[in-house]
Amino acid sequence: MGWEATLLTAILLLLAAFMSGAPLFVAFLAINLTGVAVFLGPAGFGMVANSIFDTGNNADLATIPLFILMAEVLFRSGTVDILFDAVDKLIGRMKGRQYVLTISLSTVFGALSGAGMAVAAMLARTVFPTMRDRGYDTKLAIGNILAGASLAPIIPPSVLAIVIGTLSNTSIAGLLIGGIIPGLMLSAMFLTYTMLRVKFNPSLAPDDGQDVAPKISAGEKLRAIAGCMPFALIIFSVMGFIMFGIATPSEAAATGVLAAIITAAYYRRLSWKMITESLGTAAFITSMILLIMASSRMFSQLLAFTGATTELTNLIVSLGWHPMLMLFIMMAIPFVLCMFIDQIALMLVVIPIYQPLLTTLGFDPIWFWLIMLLNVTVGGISPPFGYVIFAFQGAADKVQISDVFRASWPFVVLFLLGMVALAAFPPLVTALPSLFK
Amino acid sequence: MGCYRTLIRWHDQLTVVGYYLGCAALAIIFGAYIIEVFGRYFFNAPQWWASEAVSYSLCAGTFLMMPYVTWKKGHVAVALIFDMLPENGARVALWLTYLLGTLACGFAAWITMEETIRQYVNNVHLMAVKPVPKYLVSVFIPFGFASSTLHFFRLLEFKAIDPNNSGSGFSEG
Repeated sequence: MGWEATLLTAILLLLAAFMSGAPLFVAFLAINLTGVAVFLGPAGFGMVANSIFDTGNNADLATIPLFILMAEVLFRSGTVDILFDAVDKLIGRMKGRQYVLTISLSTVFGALSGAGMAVAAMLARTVFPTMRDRGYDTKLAIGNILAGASLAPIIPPSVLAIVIGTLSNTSIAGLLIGGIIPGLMLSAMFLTYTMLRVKFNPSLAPDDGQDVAPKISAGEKLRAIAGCMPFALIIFSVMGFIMFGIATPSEAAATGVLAAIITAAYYRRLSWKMITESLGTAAFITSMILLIMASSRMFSQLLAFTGATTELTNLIVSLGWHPMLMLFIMMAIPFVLCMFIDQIALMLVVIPIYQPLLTTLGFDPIWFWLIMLLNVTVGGISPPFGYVIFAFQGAADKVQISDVFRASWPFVVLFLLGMVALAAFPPLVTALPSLFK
Repeated sequence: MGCYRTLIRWHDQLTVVGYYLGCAALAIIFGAYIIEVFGRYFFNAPQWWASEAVSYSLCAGTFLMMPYVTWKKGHVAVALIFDMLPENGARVALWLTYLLGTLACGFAAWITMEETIRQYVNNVHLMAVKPVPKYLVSVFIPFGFASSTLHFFRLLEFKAIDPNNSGSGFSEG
């Protein structure tokens, strides 16, 4: 069998195994064990065992449970409610202020949480009913929440950035720092788009009389800012420590957990029950993610062994296509697949194939993988099977899935525009990481 | 039948013990890094053991928790097919995924156990400041796969399969 047939068969079999509904780690295991039996024989099974061990024993991946634990402590303790109230008080009177509140909150939550689903579910339970009751446009409100929640995997801390960094051997600190500007840029784009729509169609937001912001004195505003300070400490404990080289990403994640616990204690929300529940959820999700990663690792080694990776790189070189055309093709495939397949599973298939091509095409790894991060993140809000969509629909009352689908498309387009901007202006991604090298 | 039920109960209890040990492993990861950072900056005393404790705890915790994730049907899956098929078809499809899970995990348990035994027999040590026998860390891997095999096997009881509860968690968290 030629390398083209091998590569195509491997990918098709893997996609078929995913779509069969089997747990992803089982799908990877089944395909990899079969592949090893075919190409290496029984002598290769020891390699599978060692590849599983190497992934499970990788200290860099300890960042994942710690980031999840940090968000769990904040969300389960209810301390994020204080942040919610503080941000609410700081946003003044304006038409469509609930939209502004949603996006501002999402951006701040994005800096405290590494995954979008929890943020989507929380906003669906808190902000969304208020917006609906006050007469805000349902679809624009849903779109705001979905898009805002999708900032979480981009603005550090980000679980997906850790996965991508570990698999592609790219600087995790670089990827985390590189996500700051794109995350804030997208947040600004969502806000601009929403406010422009409200400006041109005022019926999308209720009249000021119906949606009056509470009258807040200057003293209360100062207290609200002071209330945000412990959260600033958490963000600094993670990003500040990484940026100034005080700690590695894993250590910074641990200091972030400590800061989250101190914050919960400061607001008298700390309890043994909350801590054990947070530990349980974080350990559960970590096991889930690491099992997929451990089971998949042999896939890249098999591709390399069969020569598929080298031959694909040679083919790309011989084609001589413009790197930007290659970038478009390399992004278009995951964009389509991410509508149907889990983001991490897709990354595990794509990274071993793409990684060798980056040097050939002259792409900066942090720049390329950050665009890829946006690409797979948008999969969470792309109909028909986005996880953030389902998390929102599961938490929100009386929402038609067709409305959610329609609501997400404009923001998917905004994400794509964001990716084009990053592709056209690489410093948007690379400037910060190079400053803090 | 009574004996079978007792074995099931023991297996469930062992799975719950694994859950708590998995949580403890995460607590160790957190504690080790905090001690490392504070030791380094406040006491000028970097801890040689911290990074190793983290690696070993991550491996142990992941695979100690694995049977619990399988038991609670928490593994990530693209579960669209179960929504698209009629109820009986979905039940058959689920049964097939459990069968695949039993076979794949069983095979993985076997090869990882064989590798662990090889490490024990050959006295393989991990490269570290204080080298420890590799089998002491890797033994959690066959445990996780073997116990998950049993959970998948227990799910094979066709009549008990609920197509509306295929489980499937989300990897993004």
